[in-house]
Amino acid sequence: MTSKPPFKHRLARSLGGLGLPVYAALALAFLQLPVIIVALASLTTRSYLSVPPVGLTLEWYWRVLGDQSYIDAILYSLGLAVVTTTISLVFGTAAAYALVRRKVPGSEAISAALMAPLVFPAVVIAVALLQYYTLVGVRGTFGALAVAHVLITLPYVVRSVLASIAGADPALEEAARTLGADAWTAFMKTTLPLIRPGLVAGAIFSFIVSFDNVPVSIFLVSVRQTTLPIKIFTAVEHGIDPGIAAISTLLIITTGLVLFLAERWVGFHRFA
Amino acid sequence: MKAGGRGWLERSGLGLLSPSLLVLLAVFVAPLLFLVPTSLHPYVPGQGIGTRWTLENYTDILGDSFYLTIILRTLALGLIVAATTFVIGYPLAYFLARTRSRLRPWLIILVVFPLLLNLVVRSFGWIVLLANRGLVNDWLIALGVIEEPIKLLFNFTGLLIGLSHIFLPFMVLVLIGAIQNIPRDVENAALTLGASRLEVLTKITLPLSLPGILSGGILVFVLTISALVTPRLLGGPTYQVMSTLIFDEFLKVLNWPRGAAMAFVLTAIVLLLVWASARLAQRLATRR
Amino acid sequence: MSTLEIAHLTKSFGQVLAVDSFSLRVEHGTFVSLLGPSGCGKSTILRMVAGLLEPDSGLIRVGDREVTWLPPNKRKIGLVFQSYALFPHMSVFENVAFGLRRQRLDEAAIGTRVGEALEMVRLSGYERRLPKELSGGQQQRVALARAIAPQPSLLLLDEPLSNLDAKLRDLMRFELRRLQQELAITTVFVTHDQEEALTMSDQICVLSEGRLHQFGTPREIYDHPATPFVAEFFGRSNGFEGRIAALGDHASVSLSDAVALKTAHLPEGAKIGDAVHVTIRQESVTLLDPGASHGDEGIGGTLELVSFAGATAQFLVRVAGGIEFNAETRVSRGHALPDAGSAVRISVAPADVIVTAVK
Repeated sequence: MTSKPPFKHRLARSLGGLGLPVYAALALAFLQLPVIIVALASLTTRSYLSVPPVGLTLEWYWRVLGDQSYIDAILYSLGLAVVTTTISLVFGTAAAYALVRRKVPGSEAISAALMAPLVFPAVVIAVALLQYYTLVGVRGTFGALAVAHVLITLPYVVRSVLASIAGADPALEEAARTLGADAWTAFMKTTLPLIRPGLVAGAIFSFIVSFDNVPVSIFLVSVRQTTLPIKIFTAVEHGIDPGIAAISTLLIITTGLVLFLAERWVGFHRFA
Repeated sequence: MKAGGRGWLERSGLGLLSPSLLVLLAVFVAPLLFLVPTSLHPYVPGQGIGTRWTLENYTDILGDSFYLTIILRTLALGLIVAATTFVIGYPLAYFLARTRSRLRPWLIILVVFPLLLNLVVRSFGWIVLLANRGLVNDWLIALGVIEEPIKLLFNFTGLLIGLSHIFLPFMVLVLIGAIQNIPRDVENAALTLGASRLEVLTKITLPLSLPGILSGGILVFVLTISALVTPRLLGGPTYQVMSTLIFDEFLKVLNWPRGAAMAFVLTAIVLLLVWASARLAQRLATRR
Repeated sequence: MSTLEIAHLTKSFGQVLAVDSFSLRVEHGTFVSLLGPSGCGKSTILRMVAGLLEPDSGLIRVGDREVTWLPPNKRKIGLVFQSYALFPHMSVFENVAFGLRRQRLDEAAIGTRVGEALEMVRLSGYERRLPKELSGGQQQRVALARAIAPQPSLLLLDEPLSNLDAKLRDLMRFELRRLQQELAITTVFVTHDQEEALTMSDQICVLSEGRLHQFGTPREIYDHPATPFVAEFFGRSNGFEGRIAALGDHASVSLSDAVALKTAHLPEGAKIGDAVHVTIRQESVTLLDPGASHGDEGIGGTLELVSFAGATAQFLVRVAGGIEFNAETRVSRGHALPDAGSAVRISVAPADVIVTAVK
């Protein structure tokens, strides 16, 4: 009476069921393609780009890391990203908290305004700031650049924190208040631990967006001091060589590592 | 009354919002307002911005075939990139939305990874791939498909390939959300009523993910027509789009009035689209 | 004629055996419930019959057609989902017409059949509404009309009433049953609600942990449960481990050295001394009137707890050997309840002492 799946059925079923996963694997591979190419290109022994690499060497890495101008650019970008992220995180968390927990008049318009820099053409923001900073006389300063970066990273922090604050029960803070905690302590001890994943995700987004930014920074940096992505951008415009591939690969590895840790730590994919 | 004022600030949340709103006013709203008059003055070569009020920066752009070509090219690029990312991205998004694999979070991270990777690095990868003596041409010649390298860089094809790759993750992430909102049982119901897999896709899944397709498409369109880095690197200094043109007007030619006018034309297109999509989303939401 | 025949159906998810060699035969035109707690495998069986899940092994036959390995769209089986799964972007008409369009019927025939189906569920006039404009009960009826419109040979219902409020649920029970009898359609109904199963079914199939426990009419299942699980699944009951003390006309089971109960039924082939499971429903336990003298009738004990619950009251009685009985009795208005701590006697009619074999 019992029957096992007939062979023809099993074959058709496994082939039919394979189509989509195979396509997905190919599409995901396509997404990683330029990353793999750049990493391979950085290992070549030739002085021009060749993939697959001719011979294997790490020489280009030593050359880039021995170049003081690259080190300066990396440090400048890191400093900028750290300052930007710190400010964005404080401002953005306060804003998201207010939008969810307070009766803000016109809250929908305000959150739309806070998100606006996300869809507004970056190049337009940049040229407007270029003129504005020139008029005010702060063009090329670290502070002016950092404030511009706060503007473009704020939406990411607000979005991530909003996503996790909605899941934190406001009654917890009230309970803490009835047990004698002041407003600040109540927030720090109940809500903050619950929204930590959102804070981490927002901080990572903010850091990466600031560290990687070209379209806004390129209009606002001074001639003497530049960021790493702008330095790479200018280098690529002048002609490509394995040194660019090496510094790019360093960025790829760092980004990959950060993302890996973020996924393990807070389940980063939920905030994408 | 001071205490009352503070209480109101606290209750209304404006106290907590004010730092962010100040940033928004100081480095977003104000600079844009200051840019408006710039676009309404003439550019005097050698002197900079003239004092006369004029609309000629706008009429020049919209009446000159050089600029019109660039605007149309930018819009065509946006449209085709949005369509391409949809076609490539939908099956991937469907798989990621429906798979029960334990690897799913990591597969989504593989979509997010290129998104968070530096734009310059990704564009650089495509230069290596698409150059005249790049990988794609090498492979095609080795396979005997072509004899001479074909031009894949500094033209429409190059921008299309590069931008589609770069904005594909946005489309996929939006679509995953939209497809996840369709209950599996709605598709199952169609199956038990005799619909084939193809009919389920065309009559159920696609129509129900329409809001996601629209918002993903508009997002990619807007990002594409605003993109600066990739078009500059893959299009070079000669194959221009609107943002590279704005870049040159401000940093190379120093014709700020025309650059500002161009910037506002771009802004107008983007805002119009965002507004239209919001309206459309609302219509779709009330229909459902 | 469409019977449903399931034989040795087996399905596991990873290490978990969800359905374990399940067999069932549903006669043409009958209404059979698959009843069991959540996770007992009833929905898994239903999905395998519908073709939405593939079994590991086994056989499913509808009429004389084996459908085990057919895709769901080739089975001609109507399925009503727990969530209704209506197509939110289509009108009621288009929802009901969906299956008919797949059969490539002409527009006139579709119109007639949709009209008939909607009339059957009493929703004529709602053709142009969208699902979100309907109440839960109306949505449920659209789902039903959509499933029956293509005239399937088999109708499957996956907990269709569980999302309705109590009043509507009672009404829909009878509506569903009426419809099923009008159409004389072979129906399998999945539920975890014993009352639903008892009131609606021709036959009930009780499941637990992927295995069939008993298949029979509601009366058979309720009065003569085959396993301890089935015995305790219905109503609130007391469960005891016991041994058979006497056979024949004076059949009885002992719960302890001091407590023995007469019973009207013993499992087949029972011998004295066999370990058995004894189930006594709470409403079968009678508290004897303390005023009258009963001699040694019933079992003496102490009333530990009394709780008044309106029309009924609950008692907890501890008898010799520490054995506890829960009892539920109707309360007459104005009638005093005994106090906790007082000495009482309880009795159980032999017919209400349900004895099932322990494997």
